[in-house]
Amino acid sequence: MKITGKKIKKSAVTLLMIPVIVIMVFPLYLLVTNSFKTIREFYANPLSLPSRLYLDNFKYVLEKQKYFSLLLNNVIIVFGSIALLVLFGAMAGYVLGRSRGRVMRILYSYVVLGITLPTYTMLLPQLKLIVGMGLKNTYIGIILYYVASGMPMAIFLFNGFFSTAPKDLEEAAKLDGCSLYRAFFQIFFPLSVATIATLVLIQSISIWNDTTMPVLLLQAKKRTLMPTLQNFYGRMMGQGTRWERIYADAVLCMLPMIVLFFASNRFLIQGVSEGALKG
Amino acid sequence: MAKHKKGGFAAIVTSDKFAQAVFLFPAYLIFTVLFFIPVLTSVYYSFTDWNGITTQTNWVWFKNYADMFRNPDIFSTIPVTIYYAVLNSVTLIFVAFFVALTLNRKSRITTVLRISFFMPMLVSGIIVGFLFKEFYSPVISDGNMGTLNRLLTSLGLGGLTQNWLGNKSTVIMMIVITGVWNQVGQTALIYLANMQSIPKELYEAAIIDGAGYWRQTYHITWKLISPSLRINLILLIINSLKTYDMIALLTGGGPGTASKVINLWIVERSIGGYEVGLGCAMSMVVTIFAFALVTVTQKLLTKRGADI
Repeated sequence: MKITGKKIKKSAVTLLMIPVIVIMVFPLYLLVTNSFKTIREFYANPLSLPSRLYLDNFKYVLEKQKYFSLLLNNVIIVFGSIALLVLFGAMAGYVLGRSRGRVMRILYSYVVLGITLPTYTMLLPQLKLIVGMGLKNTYIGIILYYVASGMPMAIFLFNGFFSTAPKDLEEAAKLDGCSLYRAFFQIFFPLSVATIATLVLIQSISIWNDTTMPVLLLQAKKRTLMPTLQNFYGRMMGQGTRWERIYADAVLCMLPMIVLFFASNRFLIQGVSEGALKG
Repeated sequence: MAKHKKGGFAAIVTSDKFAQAVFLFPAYLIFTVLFFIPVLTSVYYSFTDWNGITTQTNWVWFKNYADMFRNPDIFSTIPVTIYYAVLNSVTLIFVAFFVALTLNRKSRITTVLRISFFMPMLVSGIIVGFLFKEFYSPVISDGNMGTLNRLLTSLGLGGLTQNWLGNKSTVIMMIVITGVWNQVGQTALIYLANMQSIPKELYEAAIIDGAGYWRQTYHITWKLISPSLRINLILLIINSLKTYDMIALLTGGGPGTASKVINLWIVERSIGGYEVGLGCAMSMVVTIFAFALVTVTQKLLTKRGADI
């Protein structure tokens, strides 16, 4: 009797969750379905499914937006930034997490306090510095900017993970005559997969979606998808409010992130609990 | 430890201290040059009249700060920013807690639930901005209503239709609701990771003592999530103060200046209006403010920890 009561309760909670799922998914449903409609169909009923597979919006965007060359810029910038951030962040986080002492504590706080600064504070000084180093309109300039901005979060997560990784592993490595370099690259770095996946997802999203620095630092040819989407939005508003085209461009700009999300999804919870909460 | 017989240079390269320095160097070099030095120069610029272009600047002492507090248009952005940041953080702290509780229960729809809560965090500020701008708008074109008002009409709730973002007293609320949809996944994710590390035995003991679900939730879960609560509060306060794209597209600061947060003003003046010195001064105020909020909440949490 008690078990069935429990089961009913559980099913009731599940049923209650269905409207919540609908609300969470609804905005994305609108974005995707309306990108397959003509403007007339959109105004006639923005809530319905598209009546047929209408692809002209996507064709229009691909013709007008140089989508693939922008996508390549995005991939180069995100990939470069994330690779350096993960490597340098893990190396520093490893040393900080495995050693005690006052100097290390100060070094840790020095970077991690950066999390509490709203980045608009130093946008223009950063810009001036990068331009002064002769890195205006280069990938490396913007990549270094993203590495610096992401470093507090990276060191925070890696320090948390490495400070709780089992001590015996390090001792075993030392007994084998393993140098710090080999211990890190062969044993500890591969152990931190979940932390890496979490960092990759969180930082890729914020770099991918940044609309400020690419506009200030890069000329049109080297720009990324999101700032161009913003311009496209402005243009389409001027040409009779073409929501269906704006939505199609938005879907295309988000697509690679969605792929990344499904690839790293299963590591997420583990990564956060190992990195952020045990430190 | 195995000792190798090596010459001076090789011995240094393989020593632990040297290796540690090698590991720390790249991260600290990049951070110092492109993060820490800009923070310092930003403080410096806040005392100058730099316009962002010329190399010549004049030291003007506290003129920028004085101008800021004298100008009522600028000053009015401060309460708006505080109201938005606090409302956004507080709402998300609690909503995300319940979301994480739900995601922490095993059921047939857990995977679907998780994906539907985590997906929105991929959507960029500008996409959220224009998607919801259309959604809330009273009239989009040729007399067609925005999607929310149409939805209400078709559900027979036509009386509720209104200009959602055009009302001074509710506009911030609408922005917060939009932000909750966008950010709840990230906040819940951090709670969830914490919840999964709470030992199962605690709950089993509580069940033997006859505690129901809600008593377990309050006495065990809520009391043991301090680490994630701490991180969430920091991230939420900072992210709320950083919000720019979403509000710029949704309302552009309107109606009037009802949703004009500090960032809109900073970008408008320092990037659009060539008053970088003034922009830096304003940024300093935001930074001090962020620091104060973070410190206060962390102190409160430490106290909370001591109570248990």
